[in-house]
Amino acid sequence: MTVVNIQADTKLHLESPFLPAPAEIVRKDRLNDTETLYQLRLADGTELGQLPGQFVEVSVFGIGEAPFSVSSSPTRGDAFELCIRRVGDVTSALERLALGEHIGIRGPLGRGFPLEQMRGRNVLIIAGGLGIVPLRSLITNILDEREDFSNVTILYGCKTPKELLFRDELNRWQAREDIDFRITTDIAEPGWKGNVGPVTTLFRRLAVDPRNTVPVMVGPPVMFKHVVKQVLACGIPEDRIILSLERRMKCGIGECGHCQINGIYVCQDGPVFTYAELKRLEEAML
Amino acid sequence: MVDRVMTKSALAESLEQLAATLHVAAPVEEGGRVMFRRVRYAAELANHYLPTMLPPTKYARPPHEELLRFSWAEGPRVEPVFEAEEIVIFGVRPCDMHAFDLLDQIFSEENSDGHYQARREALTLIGMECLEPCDEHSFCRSMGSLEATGGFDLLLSEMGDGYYVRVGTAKGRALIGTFQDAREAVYEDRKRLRKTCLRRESQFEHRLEDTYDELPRVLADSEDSLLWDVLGEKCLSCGACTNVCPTCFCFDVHDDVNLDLKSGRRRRHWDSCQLEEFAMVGTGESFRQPRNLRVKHRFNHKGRYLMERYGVPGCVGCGRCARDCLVGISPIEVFNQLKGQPVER
Ligand SMILES: Cc1cc2nc3c(=O)[nH]c(=O)nc-3n(C[C@H](O)[C@H](O)[C@H](O)COP(=O)(O)OP(=O)(O)OC[C@H]3O[C@@H](n4cnc5c(N)ncnc54)[C@H](O)[C@@H]3O)c2cc1C
Ligand code: SF4
Ligand code: SF4
Ligand code: FES
Repeated sequence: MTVVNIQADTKLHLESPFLPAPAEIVRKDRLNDTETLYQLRLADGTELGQLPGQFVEVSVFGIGEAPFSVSSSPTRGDAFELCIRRVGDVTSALERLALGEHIGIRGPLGRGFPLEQMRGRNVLIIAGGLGIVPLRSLITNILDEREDFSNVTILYGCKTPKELLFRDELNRWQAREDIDFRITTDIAEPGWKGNVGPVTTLFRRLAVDPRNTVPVMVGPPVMFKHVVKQVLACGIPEDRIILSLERRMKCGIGECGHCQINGIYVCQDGPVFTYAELKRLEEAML
Repeated sequence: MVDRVMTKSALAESLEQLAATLHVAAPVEEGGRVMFRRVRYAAELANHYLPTMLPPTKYARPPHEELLRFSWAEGPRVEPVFEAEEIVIFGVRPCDMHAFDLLDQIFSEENSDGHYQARREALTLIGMECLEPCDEHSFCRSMGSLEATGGFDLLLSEMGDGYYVRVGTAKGRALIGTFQDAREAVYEDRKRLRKTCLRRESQFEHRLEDTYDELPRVLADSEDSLLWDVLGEKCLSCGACTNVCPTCFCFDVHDDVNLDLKSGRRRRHWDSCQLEEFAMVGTGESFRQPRNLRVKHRFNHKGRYLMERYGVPGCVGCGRCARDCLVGISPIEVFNQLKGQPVER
């Protein structure tokens, strides 16, 4: 701790909400041209203790800090995973780090998916693009506790087949009898035998029980607009539609103002919300 | 705690004594504008002054502030930085004390932000009551911030050639104990103070059609007002309004690497919701791109969101933003126009 010129008799116990905990990179898997899966372990040996849907602030010292969803499930031991797309300073610097090097972690932060309210119900998960990253945490958790949930349906859409993430897991999910897993891509590529079209096209052959289904969606803003319309048309009430938003974040603790949507703070009140909470907010862009 | 009474000359002398050993900041006129800066002599102090260019909250929330220091010379090391200088701020206006209260709530109560807390704890606030309105831009009475209700260590009210001094905290009591010729207030003094306060009430008009507790509703009803478009066309997005505002607290965070390339620091810097990049994300989307939305966000944040979230108004009516806006956007006009005065393009 560096204390500069504070009166010696100060009785304050000072804490910095910005102080990250060191974490070691224990595994690094290149998933795609731009996405890498990092497995991390906190240096003090503790578990991160995340809920699916929560995020962490990642520090590469000298470069900066950025928020990322935790992609692994709390059911899977003391290491945790982040899947990160290289887009700028922090994400590029991360790629250059080697196994055994340390980064800084703050969190888990924010409100995760309402897992407890989903138990005993049908779950309909809709992932668009990078939205699969936080949803992978939820999906893995649900599959590890499969008996707690009724029907599980997962729809995953990407721009091109190349962009599909976590292919091994996708294959395993596809092979399972106890879930309904469907994939689509906006554009077909040679050799692609799956569905072509936006994720909404997967809805057509789907029987959704509006009384007992919790839809959970994460994806780009355009996806929300269409998918929300579709689940509403199924008769699902607004306060049972779950979505997770991305905004610029500089603190993650409700101070810096960057993540605000009208009067709410995505970092604290979210990133997971119900549609009912957001629909009247102009800046939610739904 | 017992109130005191001092003559102006006794106070000036006490301040100079204090300033000989401590950082005393007070309003000083420079180049036609008044600002808080370090003083040594009572003669430096501005006599009559509008709210200063930058608010005194800058001492608790400086434009640039170090949060962390780190190095990777021998494995990664990171430590928080708590920086604070003991400063006595003299002449804090009631509106600015209310602003301190709001910042305290956000940085101390909602969050335990040690960086803020360290600086704040090291401040001693000597408030100065306003007995007459400053200019056409202020609307403190409508925002409930004319009355200094707390936040001060000492509060001075001018009475003739002296001051009535209220003691707000133990820190204030200790400080007044070091002042010479601060006699205890008696019944006659209190009576005089009451009269002064009564006179003040009639001097300050309500400049808003509504008081602050009605603003959230007025703003909620104005989501689609044409006024936002009019303001969006006018506003230059320069961010002057948010820079001078005592209740603005948004920031950006950056890392700097030292010349040795083996160590560095993380700092936060004032930021402004009026700038386009403020709400931009990785996919290139900016969630508040059009200017009218940014202006709307600022006024909603001031008049509605903070009220809804923390139960206190996010604006203290100091008028700084209006005084410094190049195109004359004023919260008094905005709030009153939303209330129903006609909007002209
Ligand atoms: C709750 C949350 C969860 C996220 N989860 C993931 C995830 O699991 N995987 C993933 O790859 N990405 C995720 N992101 C996005 C990720 O935070 C940004 O891609 C990252 O901040 C970019 O950092 P950078 O330093 O590499 O980019 P920069 O060099 O800072 O900038 C590159 C671009 O990113 C934008 N940007 C800058 N800062 C942010 C910010 N804090 N948030 C969003 N955009 C920003 C800039 O406007 C610019 O266009 C998440 C964002 C949020 C808010
Ligand atoms: S000072 Fe005026 S012109 Fe500049 S951003 Fe604020 S309202 Fe707009
Ligand atoms: S919004 Fe304007 S009037 Fe209100 S506190 Fe800020 S600077 Fe003062
Ligand atoms: S990220 Fe700073 S307030 Fe939400």
